[in-house]
Amino acid sequence: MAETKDFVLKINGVSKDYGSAHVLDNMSFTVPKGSIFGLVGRNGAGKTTIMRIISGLQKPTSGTIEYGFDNKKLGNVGALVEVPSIYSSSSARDNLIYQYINLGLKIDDSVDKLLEFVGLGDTGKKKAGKFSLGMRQRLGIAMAMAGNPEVLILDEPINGLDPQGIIQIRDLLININKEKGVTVIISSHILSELSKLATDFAFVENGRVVKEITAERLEDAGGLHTEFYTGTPDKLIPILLANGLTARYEQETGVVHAKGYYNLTKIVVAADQAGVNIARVVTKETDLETYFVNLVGGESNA
Amino acid sequence: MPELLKFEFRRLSKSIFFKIVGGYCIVWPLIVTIFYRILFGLTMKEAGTSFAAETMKESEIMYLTWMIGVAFVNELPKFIALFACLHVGRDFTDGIVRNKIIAGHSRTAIFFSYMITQLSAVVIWCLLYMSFSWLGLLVTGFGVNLNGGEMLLRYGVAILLTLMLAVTFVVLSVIFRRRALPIILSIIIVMVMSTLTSFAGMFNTPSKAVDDYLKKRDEKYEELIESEILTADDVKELKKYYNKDHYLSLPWKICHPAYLITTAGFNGDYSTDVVSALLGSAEYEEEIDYSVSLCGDEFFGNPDYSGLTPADFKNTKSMHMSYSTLNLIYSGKALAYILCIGGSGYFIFRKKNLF
Repeated sequence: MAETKDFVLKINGVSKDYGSAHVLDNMSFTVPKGSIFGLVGRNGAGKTTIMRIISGLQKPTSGTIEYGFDNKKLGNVGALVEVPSIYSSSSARDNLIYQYINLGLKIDDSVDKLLEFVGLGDTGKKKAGKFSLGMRQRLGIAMAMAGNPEVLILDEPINGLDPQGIIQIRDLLININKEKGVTVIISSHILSELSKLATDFAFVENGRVVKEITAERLEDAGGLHTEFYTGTPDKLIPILLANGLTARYEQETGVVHAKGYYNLTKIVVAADQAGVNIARVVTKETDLETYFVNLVGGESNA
Repeated sequence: MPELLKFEFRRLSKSIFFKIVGGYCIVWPLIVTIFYRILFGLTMKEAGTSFAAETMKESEIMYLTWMIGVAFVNELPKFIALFACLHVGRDFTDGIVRNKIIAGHSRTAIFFSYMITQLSAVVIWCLLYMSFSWLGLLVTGFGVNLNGGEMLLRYGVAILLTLMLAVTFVVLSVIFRRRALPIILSIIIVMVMSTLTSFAGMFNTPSKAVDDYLKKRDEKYEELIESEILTADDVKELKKYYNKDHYLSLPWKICHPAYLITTAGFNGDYSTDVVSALLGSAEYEEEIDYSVSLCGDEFFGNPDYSGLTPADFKNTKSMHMSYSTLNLIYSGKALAYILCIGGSGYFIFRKKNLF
């Protein structure tokens, strides 16, 4: 019986050199099964290179990649790296049929279902060359999705899209992950979007992963931090806990620190009813971008 | 590999360019045969006789069958160059080749899928061209004579040479990311080959044949001196002028090595010459007789006064090259080039980061 692994990919000390340039330097990280794994890093940090290596487009100079599935099986890795690879003179359906043939799949109604799934069911004979950027991206994702891959690798899939396009792709990726159980590895410059999607993150800097963290822990480390100034902390803390926040009292300063998002009105009303006097509220929000800047220093430019 | 072949053959079947060239391979030889029909008719009218195909000698019909059918060797390379570069190049410009790599296909399978489909396309075109040239010859009343099937071997050699060019174009297409450069290089190759083939066959005479000719000529000169037809001084002058360099001049010294190592001599060696057909001197030969050019033509006689004729060299081995040997030589060269060019292309395709 085949061993079931809890990861889809384990990158072990992968390096990539182009002549004297070291693009990847002993990079290591693990992609948990069923996750949406966000790769965050500046331009030139090595995100695209590692994605190209994972998808087989390039070979590493050293290091290994361990797959948690049969990576030799056609179509077990789906990828959209840099730009969608589609025949611009063919329709969406024809492009998908080519991909089915490429993967040795039977051409049946799943072609149309997949087109429907990515929202391109009504494109008919329109040539892919005449598609909008968002449509091309969705077609690229559909092609990467053909054959139900174990892992879907997406390099900047929302780059250049308008807000509506971004929302469509985000929803699509969430559906792919939740409904089809596909692990997604994604990189994006738009960190606010990435933070809405990803369940796990790897922060890449100078060809190395400087931090691996789950979204949960990232939220703990960052998220919304609030300082409540009150004379009755013992009465305030249960109210905060009841509203889903984590809270602790700092004796030296006399401040109650709370983490998490909340409805301020609800807290204030509850505090008033409990006879708690809140003198001042100071909020500090640490988002993915701030976390990244704090981690690697300097401007984000991710 | 089966998936990739299915993929590429589907593309081929949907390619408009492939169909257009296929159409050309059907229509053009038909037009050419009709053209010859008209042209031969005009010649015969001027001579005051009516033309009938059955009055043609069998060797002339054979020659016409060969010449019109084999024209693809000169007609198709430009189309093949464009088709290979546009068709294969599209996979690189549109990035489809990356889908194949990501799907899990090996570079070897990808390379050979391109090669097999492109070569299949070329073979289809060649066969169409040949078939419709024969159909044209039948329809226009010339008739078809394949020399009992022997001609098919020569056609096979011609197809092999065309495939050699196709391999070159496919290799150029897969080792460059963009389409423009392979197209430019391929067209340059077609132009260079076309220029080379127009004259390389003129330099096919082997050095040994000239040596044997001179040896026999010197013996003949001795006889002529003995019979007092020529004096020793005459012979001295003739030998001085008609020396080896006269027959194998500087152009021969430059072009013969190219003739030997390339396949550019095909047009000359295999007589795909239209002019000789029109002059009525063309014949479908069993062999190349180098003594014909060394002894001069029938009308002007032998310029070196030796009086030697091709008949004198009937048993001189170096003067004769059979087409069965020539078929082997050209097939060998074509296969060697296919292996060298294809092999180098495969090596680069595997190693180079092209995606």
